[in-house]
Amino acid sequence: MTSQVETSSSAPVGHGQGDDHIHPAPRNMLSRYVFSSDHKVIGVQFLSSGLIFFVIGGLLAMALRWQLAWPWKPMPILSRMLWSDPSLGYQMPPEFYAKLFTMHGTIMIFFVIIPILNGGFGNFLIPLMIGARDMAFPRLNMVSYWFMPPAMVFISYSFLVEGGAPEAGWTSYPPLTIARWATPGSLNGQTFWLLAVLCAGISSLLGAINYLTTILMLRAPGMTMMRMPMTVWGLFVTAILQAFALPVLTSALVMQTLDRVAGTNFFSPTGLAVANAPAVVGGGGPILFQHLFWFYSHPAVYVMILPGMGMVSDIIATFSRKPLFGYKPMVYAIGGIAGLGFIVWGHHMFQSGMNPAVGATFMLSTMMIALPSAIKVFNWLGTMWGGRIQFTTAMLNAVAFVAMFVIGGLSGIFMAASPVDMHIHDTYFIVAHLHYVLFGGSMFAIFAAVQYWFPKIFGRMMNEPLGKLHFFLTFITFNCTFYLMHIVGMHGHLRRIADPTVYESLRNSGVTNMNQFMTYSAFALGAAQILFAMNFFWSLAFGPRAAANPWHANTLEWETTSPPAYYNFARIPVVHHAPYEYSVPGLEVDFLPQTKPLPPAAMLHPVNS
Amino acid sequence: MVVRNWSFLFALVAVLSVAAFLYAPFSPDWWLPNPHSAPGHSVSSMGREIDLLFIVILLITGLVFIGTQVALVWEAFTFVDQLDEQGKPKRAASYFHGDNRLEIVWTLVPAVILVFITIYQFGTWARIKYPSRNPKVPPLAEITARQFQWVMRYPGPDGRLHSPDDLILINDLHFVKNQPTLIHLKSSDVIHSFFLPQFRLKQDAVPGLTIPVWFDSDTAGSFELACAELCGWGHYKMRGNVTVHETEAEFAKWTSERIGEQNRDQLDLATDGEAR
Amino acid sequence: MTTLAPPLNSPSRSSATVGLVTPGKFAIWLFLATEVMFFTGLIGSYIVFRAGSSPRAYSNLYPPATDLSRTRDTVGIVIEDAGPDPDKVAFELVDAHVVGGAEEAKRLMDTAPHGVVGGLTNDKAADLVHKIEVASGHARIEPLKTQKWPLPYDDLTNPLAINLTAANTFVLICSSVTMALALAAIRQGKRLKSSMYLLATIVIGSLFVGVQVYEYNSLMFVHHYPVGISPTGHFRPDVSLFASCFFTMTGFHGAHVTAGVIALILIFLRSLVLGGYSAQNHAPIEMVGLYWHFVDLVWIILFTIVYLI
Ligand code: HEA
Ligand code: HEA
Ligand code: CUA
Ligand SMILES: [Cu+2]
Repeated sequence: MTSQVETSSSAPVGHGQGDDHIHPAPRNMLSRYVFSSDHKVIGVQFLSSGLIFFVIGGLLAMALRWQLAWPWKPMPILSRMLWSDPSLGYQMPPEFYAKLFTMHGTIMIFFVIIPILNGGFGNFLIPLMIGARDMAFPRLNMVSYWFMPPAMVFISYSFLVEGGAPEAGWTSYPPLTIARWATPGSLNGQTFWLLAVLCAGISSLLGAINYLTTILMLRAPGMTMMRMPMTVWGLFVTAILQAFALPVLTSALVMQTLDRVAGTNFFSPTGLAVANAPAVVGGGGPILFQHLFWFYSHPAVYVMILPGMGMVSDIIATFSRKPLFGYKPMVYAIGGIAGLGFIVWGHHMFQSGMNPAVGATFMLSTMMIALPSAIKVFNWLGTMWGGRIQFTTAMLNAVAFVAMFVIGGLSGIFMAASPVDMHIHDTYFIVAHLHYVLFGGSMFAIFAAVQYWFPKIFGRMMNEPLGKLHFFLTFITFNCTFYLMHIVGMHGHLRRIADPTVYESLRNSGVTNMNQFMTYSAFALGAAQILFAMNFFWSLAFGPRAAANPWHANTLEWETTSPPAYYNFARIPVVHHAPYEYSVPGLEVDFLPQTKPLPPAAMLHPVNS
Repeated sequence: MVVRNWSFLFALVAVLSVAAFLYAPFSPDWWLPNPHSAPGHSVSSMGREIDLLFIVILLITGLVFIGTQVALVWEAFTFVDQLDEQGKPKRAASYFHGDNRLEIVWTLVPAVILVFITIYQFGTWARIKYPSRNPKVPPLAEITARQFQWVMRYPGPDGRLHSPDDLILINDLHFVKNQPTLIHLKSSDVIHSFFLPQFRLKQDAVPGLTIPVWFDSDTAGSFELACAELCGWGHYKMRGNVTVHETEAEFAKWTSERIGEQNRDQLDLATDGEAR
Repeated sequence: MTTLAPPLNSPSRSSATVGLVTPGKFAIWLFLATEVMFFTGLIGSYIVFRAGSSPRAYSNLYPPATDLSRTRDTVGIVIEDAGPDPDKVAFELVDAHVVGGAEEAKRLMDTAPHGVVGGLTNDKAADLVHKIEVASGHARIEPLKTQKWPLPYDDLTNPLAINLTAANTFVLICSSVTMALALAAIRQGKRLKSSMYLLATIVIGSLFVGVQVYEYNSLMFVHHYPVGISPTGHFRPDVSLFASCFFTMTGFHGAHVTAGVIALILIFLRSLVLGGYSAQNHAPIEMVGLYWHFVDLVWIILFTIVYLI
């Protein structure tokens, strides 16, 4: 396994991206930090705009929670300032609640999680981890980032247009979205939503092409595919998902846009007339949009978790000081999740009027997707087994990822069972599921990754005690906020409703108390994020300088300075073995960087085949 | 602080999670929605099947959950890095890359469980949703969803829909206990969803489609009809009443009363017009 | 994927070029794969719409998607020739109260030889045909025919000029040939010849776009079509699902061709003015060529499924 590589230690020579020409950083501040084609700067750009939008999306959620706990009670200050007026007694208008969750979901998914995990860490880490000087197409990379600002402007501006922000949820099902008079948000806001998501999509698409090319063609000598860190595997498979699923969403969004602005008939049934507006010709199919949307957006949920899974694998291995358990099964599992991810989209549509026999096959494939996920969970547990677990903040967040992903994944099993989904579809059970996988999964992965790679990105260490306090509070309040959603959900609490007390079955003290408890917890959860922000900025300015390899990790990014120079590596590194050779018996230290040839005394176990 | 204590944090959350679901069945506000007279009992036959399935899955996932959390907490407790007086680790990490036999076991065992769940619930799904398995009865009503109400069209005395004597009501669904009941579900504008929480029944109403939906009830009383699919600014208040009648006769009485009312209203309208 | 990875130990592994595949070429293939998925979204939707269309969605006598349940026993007439004095025929139509007014009657005359008036009883239709003959026009009785989707060469439901587009398809295929020749030429180092073939590709590609613009113009503004195609007489994206699909798919294809022409112009200028390419160094020509052939292929599929079947 390992013996064959030792020969390639001489420095490589060649042409193109991977060669040993070192280009100096641009002097011009504008092209160095703003219109930069340096993957590290672009990564930081994605990361910082994502974090800013996390604050916006989170604050929208705070207003959501207020309304759910105390329906129609004016929110101090904000009601007056932002969304209400005396004629309503400063109550929140019902359509504003719809705007809130639509924008919350859209922002969190398209402007926070995907940009941070893929755009931010993907950009920063891929070239460093595979030992390249930059992405394959640095200029394309820059263009990919610069599709985001227009998207951000569109989505934010939609609040200001006539009718206000869109109101159709992040899923934007027609005909609600194409009938302009169906609800205020469909008047103009929806068009801006479409433009924003199209721009964000193009950004991801260009990124995906770049990542795939880079990973396949710019790996350092000796860096075989099967020696790549799991993070790179996660990002690689994610890029495949993006490249093949996103264009389908693009086509659906284009058709919806045309339905709105050019009067085409794709998603309107024959003779559709909404809210006394004149009937359209129609003839199209609303359900087709759902198929196209979920054909992308189901793979997209794995786009939001696979990079996180990769990063968590790296972090758990590092802080268990142990090789990753089952590297190859882990790789195959990522592939399996991605592959199956393409054939399960119908589980969002069990009750949509789709042929129930088709629903039955989707039910089977959805159940099967739990298998590769199971492999991942058990292998993480196997990695920790017998390790020397160091509970750094990054590790705590990574372990929380595992624990929370199990909860989120298991609740997915309830919904995959289509008869059970009949009851819990479109209730808070779904909301609980999606927050356990998205916050409990992706967000904890982001917290872990920020804490872990902050020294590499900014050259300074983050504060550990503060990080641990943030983790402690977040972990507790996160569970307090979202766990009870399972309960209210199975009790029949619908999602996307501004006022649960309309329903008799939800007008009891149990549900009301739970709603208020969740709201208090949500506020605490939001407040806990202030600690994260403080830690981030304080460490940026005053954190202790980071060594090149503060965590004693093996992967290539730790073999260069913190922060890395413009050209990443003074010499292109040569890779000698798999990324997770920790605690190799017979070595002085408990780690063996990928670039370090194996000392003659030591023997490596074969990575399991 | 002893680093080991972190394992208790993970344990705490897991224990509370399990506790919530252990407590839930004992509180009617926490468990699946059921009539007050019989908490713990779904009124429809499909509802009872779905509840059983829910509990089966809850047990399976509950065991998986407890298993994984116990492993996680135990590892976090046992394998935590501890240093001796000189700051050296007390124990070295073991060095291994995995175990193929284990991988196969923990893929196959869940596979068997998941295939079991799929097959186990398949019959219920087919019975509820396959049009070929619908009860062979004339439809009770045609229900058309629109922003933000349910328009119910009952056939009236002649038993035929879309004839002049149809009874049209808003947000008022009535049917008879212990009889499989079929409706035709439509929408006249955007997508809505027909949701009977106490019956565990949900079906989207899609403009352009007519979808047959059936249900039954073993309990007379009044229940709720909700719209479960976002349909615009008034989605939250698109609620209907459901009344299950004890006997056929009671239902017939109610129908004729409503028809009388409807005829009177129409007469009023007509005479109003004349008077002007 | 692993086959693309270079051999483990080769010391000369510069990573940037693996065999003949350069990152640029690899990326263009990937890009085309995403394009394939995009067009799959559009074409797949088209196929679903078409397969799921109601058997009574289109008819020769009524606008698309009309509810035909109350028109079962009606026929229509087709005015095939308005004769030397169209006003007279128009007057007969107005007189018989079969059209909304003089304006509409006049437009019907423009639509000849496919001026359709629907919703008539058999007797009334015979009577009208007679009157039109008297006014020295020419008309025939047309029974109601319904269909799932507009058929090729069916003038009463399908406005597409298939012969023109067939010729245009041939034009586009020719451009693929010249594109291939341009690449072959530069591979042999014949820069001028290659530039000329590039120019030819640009010209032929522009011709294709030009014909498409012409076709759009006549569909949307110039011609008047019978009601079976559009209630307003013009064929525009909103008049039927068929129109929506047609304009969206051919429109996106046209935009791709236009983008291709622009790219071609850029490399042509670079090739001719700057002499930028040689037998060894001509990757941009190759990439634009790949793109061009792809766009061509898409057109052949679109032409087949939208126009021919
Ligand atoms: C990161 C995002 C993410 C991830 C990873 C997942 C993962 C899964 N999701 Fe989730 N899902 C969402 C994000 C995600 N989902 C979102 C955002 C929605 C809502 C969209 C909307 O409508 O707004 C949604 C909705 C959703 C639905 C639709 C519900 C409805 O609207 O009615 C369904 C239905 O089947 C579903 C199922 C699953 C399943 C089976 C998995 C599986 O991949 C989970 C597999 C993991 C495990 C099962 C746990 C680990 C395994 C073990 C410990 C082994 C043993 C287990 C057993 C033997 C049971 N999801
Ligand atoms: C990654 C994705 C993500 C994340 C992180 C979150 C985070 C949160 N979500 Fe999110 N949510 C979604 C994705 C996400 N959500 C999606 C996809 C939907 C479905 C939308 C739809 O139906 O279309 C949804 C829907 C949704 C609903 C259901 C609405 C409905 O259906 O009616 C609710 C209700 O409680 C909710 C609450 C919250 C809360 C309280 C948080 C909190 O965790 C947020 C905490 C974070 C912050 C508050 C930001 C940090 C703030 C600061 C640093 C500043 C200081 C703040 C204070 C002083 C308060 N969300
Ligand atoms: Cu109707 Cu929601
Ligand atoms: Cu899904």
